[in-house]
Amino acid sequence: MSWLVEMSEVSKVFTGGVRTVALDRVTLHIATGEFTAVMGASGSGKSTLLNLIAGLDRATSGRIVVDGIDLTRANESQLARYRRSRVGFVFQFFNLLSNLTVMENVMVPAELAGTPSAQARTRAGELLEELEMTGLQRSYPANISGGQRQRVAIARALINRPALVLADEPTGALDSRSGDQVMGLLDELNQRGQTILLVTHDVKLAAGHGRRVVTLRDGRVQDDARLQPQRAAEPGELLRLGAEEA
Amino acid sequence: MDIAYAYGPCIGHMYGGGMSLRFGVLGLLAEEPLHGYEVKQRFEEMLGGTWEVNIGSVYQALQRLERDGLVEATGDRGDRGRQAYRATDAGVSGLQEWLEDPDSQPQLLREEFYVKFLLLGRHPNGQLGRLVNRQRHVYLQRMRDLADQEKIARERGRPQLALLFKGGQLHTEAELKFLDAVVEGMGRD
Repeated sequence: MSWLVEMSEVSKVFTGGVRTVALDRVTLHIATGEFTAVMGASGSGKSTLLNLIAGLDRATSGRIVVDGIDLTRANESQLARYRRSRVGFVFQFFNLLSNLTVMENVMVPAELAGTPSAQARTRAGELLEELEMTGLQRSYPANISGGQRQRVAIARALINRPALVLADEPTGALDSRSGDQVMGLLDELNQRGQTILLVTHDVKLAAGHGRRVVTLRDGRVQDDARLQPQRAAEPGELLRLGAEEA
Repeated sequence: MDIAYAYGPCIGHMYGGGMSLRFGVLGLLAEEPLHGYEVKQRFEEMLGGTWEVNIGSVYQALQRLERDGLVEATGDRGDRGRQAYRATDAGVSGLQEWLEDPDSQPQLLREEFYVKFLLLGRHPNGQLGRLVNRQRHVYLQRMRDLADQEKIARERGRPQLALLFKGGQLHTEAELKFLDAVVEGMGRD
């Protein structure tokens, strides 16, 4: 098994004001193609963990290697290149640029990574078609629904063919129906081989979609559970298995 | 072991015991006359396979309903000697009354895990912590199974059954929160 993410003994200590240990010697390996959910209450360290893997923040100690890149040794420009090309972000509040159209929003990371505009446009068009958003290419974020905005954000996350998609509470601002659609989309992406790291406080989301559920508590890995999905095809069938230990 | 019972609180608890079966049978017979085996099949089908009932329990429920005047035998016995039953007028009004009343059974905190938790808490030696972790895995897998079931039920055009599975997930979420509270409590000891 090849590891896409290797975190070894990673700690993060915030020293401004009160000294806070946000992550305490966390070791976590994520394989290529896995759908991992990181779960924990607020203050458990899950956002810190996400920021470190995203290359948005630096560990105080320990080592983080993602897709062969040692984030703990990379300089700022290497980190910036890593963020642009190797990871795709899906945020709770979409983070779309309001003065750009749907198409332009999706193209932004590709253009930042130096992809020629025509090529970026073609790829963005393909992604929007896959996500059934073709008709809205010229719309502005303010004029589409929350669920549609999140689909645009997913297209944007995928445009550079990232090794890893990081989803931070991706359904947090959506109604349950749109939330289900967005999660269904992430499931499909994972089935096609995309490695996904979902961060959520919602255990229904974590266990309902992750193949693996990592629970953080007080900055440490409290639990790491592997789940078997789709154990049966008929309603009720699974319940005969439900009492078995995972 | 009854499947609903084996599955734990999320499904089994919601139907409790005999009253659900008794009135479930009566409700189906109020729709049309059925013989015992048909009642069993329809009941299980309605519950989406979450509750596998023993045919003996169905016949027992039928006998008691007949004794109480809520159902009666109807028509001739078929080729295989199977007797069909239908709801009487008293049965239909008894059913209506039951359907109108909220479920006011006391909550039974009788899960096996609760008893283990209490016993292990009497002699703290670290075993409870290990059990909590293993229990968490069971609940997480259950959550996954129920989410898959909800999806399947929805795809099959059974929105009410899908909601039942959603209910199961919410119960399981509560059990997981309870485990967190147990861990919290252990930290304070």
